[in-house]
Amino acid sequence: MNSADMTAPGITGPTILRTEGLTRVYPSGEEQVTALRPLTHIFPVGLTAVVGPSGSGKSTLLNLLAGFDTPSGGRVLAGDTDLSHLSEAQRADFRLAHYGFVFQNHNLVSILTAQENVEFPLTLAGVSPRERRNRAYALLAEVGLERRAGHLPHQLSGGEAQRVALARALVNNPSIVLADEPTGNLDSHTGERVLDLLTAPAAQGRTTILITHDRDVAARANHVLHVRDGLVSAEG
Amino acid sequence: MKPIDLWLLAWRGLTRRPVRTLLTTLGITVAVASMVIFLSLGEGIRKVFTDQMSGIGPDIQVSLSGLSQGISVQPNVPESLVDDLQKLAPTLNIQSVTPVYMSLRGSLDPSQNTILYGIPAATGIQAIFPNIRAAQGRVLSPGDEQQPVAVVGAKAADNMHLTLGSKLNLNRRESVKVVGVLADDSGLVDNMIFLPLKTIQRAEAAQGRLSMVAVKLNDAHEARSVADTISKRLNVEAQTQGDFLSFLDKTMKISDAVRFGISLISLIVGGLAVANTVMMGVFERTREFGTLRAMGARPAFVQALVLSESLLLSLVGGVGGVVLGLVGIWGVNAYTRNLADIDAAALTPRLVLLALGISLLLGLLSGLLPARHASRMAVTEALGRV
Repeated sequence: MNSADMTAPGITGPTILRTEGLTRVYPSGEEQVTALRPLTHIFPVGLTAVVGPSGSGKSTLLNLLAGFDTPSGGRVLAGDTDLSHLSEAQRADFRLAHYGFVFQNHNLVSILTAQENVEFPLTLAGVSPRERRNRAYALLAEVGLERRAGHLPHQLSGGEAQRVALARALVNNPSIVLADEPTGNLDSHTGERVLDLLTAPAAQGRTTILITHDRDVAARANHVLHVRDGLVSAEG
Repeated sequence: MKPIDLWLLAWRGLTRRPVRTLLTTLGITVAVASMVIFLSLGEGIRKVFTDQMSGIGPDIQVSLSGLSQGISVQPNVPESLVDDLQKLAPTLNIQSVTPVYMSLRGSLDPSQNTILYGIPAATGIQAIFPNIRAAQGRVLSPGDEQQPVAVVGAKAADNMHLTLGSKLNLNRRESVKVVGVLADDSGLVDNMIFLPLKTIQRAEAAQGRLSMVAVKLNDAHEARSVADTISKRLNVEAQTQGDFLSFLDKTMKISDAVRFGISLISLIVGGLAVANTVMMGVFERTREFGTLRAMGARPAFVQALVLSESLLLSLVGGVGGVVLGLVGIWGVNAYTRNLADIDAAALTPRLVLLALGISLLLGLLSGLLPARHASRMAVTEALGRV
């Protein structure tokens, strides 16, 4: 994916994702619940694992980094772009140009084949059918699923579907990959294979942020962030 | 995203639940078909009158109350009007002046409905309807005046089982004998029964009264100006065939509105079915829409996708409705051809366009709410990540 294809601003500079005093507070009746305490952090290139127990604020952080949610305070900067200054449509364009997502459940579009699912971000971007077919097929081959290209999601195993989702996340050649418990529903062998694939692009100059509660998964990361009660602390 | 990709995606979305989509499409198909059939009746009747009335009948019809009561004109015209018109004949280039008495003979069985048409036997039916001829027996002759005789149109004879020599009861006291059956004209005349003027006036106790006076001109192009002169000089209603057709068009428009109103009910039901199907699809795919948004689909894209599904559903239903309507029209025409030898229903290009246009409008309106709902969902909510 070429950022020139998009109306979204490009990312410049070596530091591609950082937060400045980022907080998120949710109203709960009369009270306010702090889901994320002020976080100022630079997410370096490579694999960053965000670990913590359920309800600690991991997903809140991911939502804010992705621009799904708007912060109560502070800001998220991708390169020089402040996500909170973008409109909903601009944020969508920005994600399409610079982000890739892997969810805990593969979240493939059920009516599209594996190949079409991988192509989808390129289809959204208006890439020509031939080019998107070639790029999607190459990525499917990379995750070892070229023979399953014509299968629908319900015809794939959980591990296969997650590898297709990973191929979809990488097809637009994103600068940032956000993965939310991508191995959570997989057996250890398949989980390992997905992690191998996730770490490979990280080595190619991407910023990959992986949310997990599995310390073994976190052990493979270049950097680890701990989240507890909305407070983020760095390690290693 | 290119429009073709959007439409393909919308189509795939609809095929996800084929049975539900099929049932909804059938609902719209039936709604549109009923509208097409209802409105085609107006189109067919217009066509019949335009084709047939313009070639036959008098150039001018003179009456007291005009054509506001349609074919069944009240017999309130004094016979003296005939003399008044004959006096004007030389100056107005009038070829013939014919007194006419008309009576609609109704029945609970529509096949038994007919028009009794009384004209002077000496003048003859051809004075007003020049193209007719007898298939059996004869037409009216001068000696028939006051005689209990009738000449029957082909379809009327068929429907009422009348043949040469049959007796036709006009009322409890009066009856007439069929002396002629007209050849099939495929027009309104086929459903008429012609009687000598005095015979029908006596049967209806309307001596000295007429429904109208038919005026034939030497030059039919002068009809409008002659009609104006007659109206002004005699203080009567003088109407040309053009007036009649324009009046008919007005009444057909009112009739169209009523029939459209009736079909609107089924269209609204069809629209609600579309809205329900699309809305259910949106609810079922909440997470999927969230994923699309996460990947970089704009809210407007999600809105366009849902609207496209709704429009596709309605368009397919609309095309199906036109096809089913065509079958229905064929059935209606088979019935009315048997009844009155006319094709009462017709599928015209403007009706096809109207049906498809209304289908699309239906799809648009039905899809608005689900589309708005889908596009306004927060990504975090849609993904179940709050």
